[in-house]
Amino acid sequence: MSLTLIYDLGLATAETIYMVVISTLGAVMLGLPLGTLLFLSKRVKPHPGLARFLSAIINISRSIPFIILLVALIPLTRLIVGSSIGIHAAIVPLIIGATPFFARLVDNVYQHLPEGLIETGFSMGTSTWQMIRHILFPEALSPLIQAITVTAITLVNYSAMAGTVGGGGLGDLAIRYGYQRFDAKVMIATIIILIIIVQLIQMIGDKWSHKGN
Amino acid sequence: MKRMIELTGLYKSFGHTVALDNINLFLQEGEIFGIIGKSGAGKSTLLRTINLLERPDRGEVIVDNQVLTSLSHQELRQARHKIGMIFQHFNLLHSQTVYDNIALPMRIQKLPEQMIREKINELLTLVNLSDKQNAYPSQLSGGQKQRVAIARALSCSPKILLCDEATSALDPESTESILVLLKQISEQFGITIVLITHEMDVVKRICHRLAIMEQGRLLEVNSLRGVFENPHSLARKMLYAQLTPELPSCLKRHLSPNAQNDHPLLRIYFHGDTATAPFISNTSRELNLNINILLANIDRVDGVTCGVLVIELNANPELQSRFLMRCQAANLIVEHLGYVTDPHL
Repeated sequence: MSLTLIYDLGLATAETIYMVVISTLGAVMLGLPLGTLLFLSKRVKPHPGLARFLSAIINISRSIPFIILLVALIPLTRLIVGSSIGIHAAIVPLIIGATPFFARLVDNVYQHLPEGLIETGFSMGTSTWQMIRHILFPEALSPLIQAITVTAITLVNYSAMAGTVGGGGLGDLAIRYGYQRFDAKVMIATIIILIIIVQLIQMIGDKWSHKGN
Repeated sequence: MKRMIELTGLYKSFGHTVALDNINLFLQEGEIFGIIGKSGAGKSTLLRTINLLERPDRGEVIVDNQVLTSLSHQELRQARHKIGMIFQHFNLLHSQTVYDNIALPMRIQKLPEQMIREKINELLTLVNLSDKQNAYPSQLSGGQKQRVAIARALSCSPKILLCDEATSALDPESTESILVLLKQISEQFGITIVLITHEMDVVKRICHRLAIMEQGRLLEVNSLRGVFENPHSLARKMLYAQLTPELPSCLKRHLSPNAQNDHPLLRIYFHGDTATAPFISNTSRELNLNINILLANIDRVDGVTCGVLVIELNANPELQSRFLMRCQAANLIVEHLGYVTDPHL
């Protein structure tokens, strides 16, 4: 393996990690409020109209395959980042693709909390915000961290796809060397690096989720 | 005495099912009131209207002279601080220690941490869990979890404690200790306690008054003592039913409803003074009648002694009717179970 290739692999790995970290943060920042709001509108402060609306948005955006979303969002990406190629440009569809996914996971986490907790909160005279702050978040913390882990791993996968449309990262590298130049060594190297990244994310997630319990 | 809870004209339905049907109920300050009924009778809905976890379709809920049904959201949240509630499955936060669980309602009220600490120490002593303040709920037994829930419910010094099947998930020993604690709380702090249960035993042990609920209606509201004065009381029937042991199967096999022989099998219910008078031995002597006692049980409910006897007579029809007249004169309730076809069992 030549020195340039090793340099390329290192750079692509850094790019992938960067895309995954930033888009995970983005998906959590948008998806956590969205999923929480969905659950609140169903169970805490029932608002069937809002619940249906949020649920529909989440379902619609989740039914679009990511590779199509990637292409469809090019005009929006160009508007926000000023370009439609490069890792910064990839982050826009990554966040938009992962947010509804994470929001649905958040809603599921809350729904698996014991039945009586919300009623107990009400009986103590909590406001909606206190319900979130003192009851929902602390009780859901550990499964929420697991949901973030799942989302981050999904984003490793998505980021490889984003690479194919000129996003950079390991996906981009694997396609260029492995597919277009039939270089099996690079292909295998990217696969090994991706496996290591996913393992690391899972390990960190398990450790934090255990702490949160 | 002051009226603490006033429920008037409550009506609530879920779709086609009527959960509350014209409920009118007034509870005194400091009393322990039990609502008993099968599951689906509406007792859980009724309990939840007291703090408006369930809002009735019609009717008024007044707690401590405050009309809860006409309060704003904000005012209702304030009012709920004075109504504690405990649940069948305890509903503790599993991610929090015993200390933090008890602190929760006080933190929601934004009390200073210093004050919270003092209150928790007091409460932990009351519920006898001082050594467990740093434990997590998963490390506690069912009875201990319910004690934590009671401490949490009492942390805002409520005037009312609502108990939703609070002992139904507990073993007999823990049930006993929780009931003793509730009684102590009622006496020590004068808190009004409303509990719902499907077990007559719970009502019998700690309640001053009780209501029987079925299909959304209150069939009977009475004091535990008053129950015995009313011959048509459903509660009395339930108390006696609980007292009566099952007839052994060997006895049932030899029992015929219409044999009309000289060996009738009778069940006799007695309460109060009649329970302590030597009725059987007197009657036996004076009528020269052989009375065979097969089963007997006795209990004390709110100071009233009550009991059940299952007896077999050895008497001709004339003697039988004289015996029944004596029972009537002594205010005993007699139930005819049948005739023993094989008196040598």
